[in-house]
Order: sequence, then structure tokens, then C-alpha cells
Amino acid sequence: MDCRRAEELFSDQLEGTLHEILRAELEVHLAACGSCRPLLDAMAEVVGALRAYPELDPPLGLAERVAAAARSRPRARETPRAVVVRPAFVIPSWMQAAAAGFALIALGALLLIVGPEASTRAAERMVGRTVNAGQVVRERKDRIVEDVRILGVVLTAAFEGRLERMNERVEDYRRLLERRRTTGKEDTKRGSEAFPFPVRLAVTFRTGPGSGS
Amino acid sequence: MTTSDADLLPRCRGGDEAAWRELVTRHTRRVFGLAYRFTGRVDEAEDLTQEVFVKVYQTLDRYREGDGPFQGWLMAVARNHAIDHYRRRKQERLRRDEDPQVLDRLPARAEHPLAGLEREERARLVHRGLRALPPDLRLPLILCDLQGLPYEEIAAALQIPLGTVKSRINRARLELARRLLGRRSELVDA
Repeated sequence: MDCRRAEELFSDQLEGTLHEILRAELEVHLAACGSCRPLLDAMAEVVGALRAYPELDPPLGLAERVAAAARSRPRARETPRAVVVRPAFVIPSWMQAAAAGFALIALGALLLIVGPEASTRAAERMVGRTVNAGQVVRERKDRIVEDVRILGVVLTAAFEGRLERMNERVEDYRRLLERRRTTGKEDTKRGSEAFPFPVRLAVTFRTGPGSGS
Repeated sequence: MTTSDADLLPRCRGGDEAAWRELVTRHTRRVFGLAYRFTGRVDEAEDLTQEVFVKVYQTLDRYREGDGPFQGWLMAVARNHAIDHYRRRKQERLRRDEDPQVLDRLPARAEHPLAGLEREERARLVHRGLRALPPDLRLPLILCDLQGLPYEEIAAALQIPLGTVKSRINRARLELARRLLGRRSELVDA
């Protein structure tokens, strides 16, 4: 075990959660290494100091100020469940179609009765209303485009957040690989002395259920 | 007879000012303590405490008695808010000086004067070292050694894998231990 590997185990050692095999290896290393034992002892002191971090009394009048400040803001009530109002009866679709057809026929008949001048005014009104409706549709379309743009920004921000965490994982993994590579080189140099487990244990690991075949 | 949180809460929801004041007074010390441990400054901790109670007051209806004691819910809200606050302000924090008040408030103990001095010196070093740690190491360490949270809860609160939490806490402790050793060796050399 080298110093770097030993240091990785310090917290587990202090918390008493280190596996006995690793603990034995660490003890062997600590007995032989002049710098790791003082570092482990210093870490124990640090943990003790952190856990004895001073508890401060809140400043006088803080509770009153805080209570008053909180009450000065409106409280968010639970959103009431939406009440769906259903009609007492539903008009069948064939009846709705028949009504629409009847309305069209009535409109045509009315135009024939009131003459061309009145129909021109009606047509002008209809054109005017159609233009208005077009404007409303265009405004709504702009709003939808704006909403989609905001949604895009939110999704991008969320994705970037994930990406940042993923980058951290990649960085951790890269460091791990680097460390393994370094450890591998050192082990090669040192030969059997640097083998991570005792030979007896390594043999035990190799003799699993499928190893005989 | 002391009124319980469970008795106060319906009154708070109903707009009873006295009940709300009682609830806040009862829990201010704990929330302030948490805020102080995150920020390391009294002025920031006061602001953070206020923000937490504003948030709690606004979302009182979301707390259900069946979810567990009110204090647990309150502290979870406070902790999440403190984490958000810490992340938002981490760059600003790095530029700020440490709070001198904490150094004067170390608990006095019946011990030899030299031992007391050494303990105070150690606490100062650790406190300064904690503030100097990069945020990704400092936050898990605060949650672990100052807040006493188990690793699993830290992983959930910070949304990072358990293994990463453990390795960051170990690295943070190592960093502080090296500072302590370095300072001692300076003193010996001097």
C-alpha cells in the first residue's frame, strides 16, 4: 500500500468502517511510514475540532424580527382542486350539425330578403371581424413562440446542470484511472511487494466456483 | 403547560400572530445555528435565518403532520435553503473575510492554560482552513462534520453519488489536516 492509497482510507479508519483486511494493511503501512501516522492523527484532531464547532446564540431580537418579516409576506395557500362543471345533458353531434346547416340556410335567406346594400355592409363587417380575428391569432402565435423560447432556455439550463455534474463524474473517473495507472506502474516496479492483497488472499479470490474449469 | 408545535401549527395557518411568534422563537436558535455553520458569519446567518422562516411561513400548508415532526421538516427546508444560498454566493464568499466573532466564542473549558491555547489555535486553524476549502469539498464537510448528516443524506441533499461524497469529505479532511501539520511545523521552525 502506498501513501496515496493509505490516505484514501483515513476517514473510514477514523469512523471504524474500514474492512478488517484493509485495516490490517493500513496498520502495516502506518507502522512503516513516517508521514502518514502524523497525518492521520492530525485528521482525527480536525474532525474533533469541526464537531466541537462553537454554537452561537442568535442575536437579541432576531426571533421577533424574523417572525414579523415572515408575516409581512403573503402566504401561499394550497391550490384548490379545479372543479369541472359538466353540462346536465350533451347535445348529440348530428343535432349540432343540423343546427349549423339550418343557421347557414337562414343566413342565406336573410341576405336574399334584405337586398344587396345590406349584404355589402354585412360583408364589410365580416371582413373587419376576420381581420381582427387574424390579429388575435397572430398575437397568440407570438405568445406561443415566446413560451417555446423560454421553455428552451429552461431546458438548456437544466441540461447544462446535468452536464456539469456529468463532467464532474468524468473528471472523478479520469483521476481514478490516472491513479490506477500510477499505482500499476509503481506495482510493476516494486514487484510482488506492492501486490494489493496478501498472496494467500489473492489465491482465495482466484479459486471461485468457476475457476476450476 | 408548554404548547406543542402540533398545537401551534393550525393557529399559525389561521393567521394567529402570537402562535407564529412562539413557533419562530422556539426554533430560531437551531435554524440560526445551521445558518451560521454554513455561512461562518453572523450577519449572513441572520439574513439566512430570516429567509428560511419567510419560506416556511409561505409554505406552511405544505407540511403534513403525517410526514414527521415539524422540526425535522423545518430543518430540511433550512438545510436545502442554506445549500442553495451557499451555491449562489460561493464566489462572493471566497472574497470575504472570516468572521472574527467565532474566534472569541470558543467554549471555555476547565483545562490547563497551554492546552486551552492549543485547542483555540487548532480551532482557529480549522475554521480558517474550512473557509479556504473549495466549495465542492466544503459543502459535504459542513453537512457531515458540522451538521452530523449521514453520507446517504448528504448525497441526496447535494445530488451527487455516495462515493463522491465520501471521497470529497476525505479530501477535505486531509486538506485541513495538512494545514494543521504545516502550521505546527512552522511554529517548531520559528
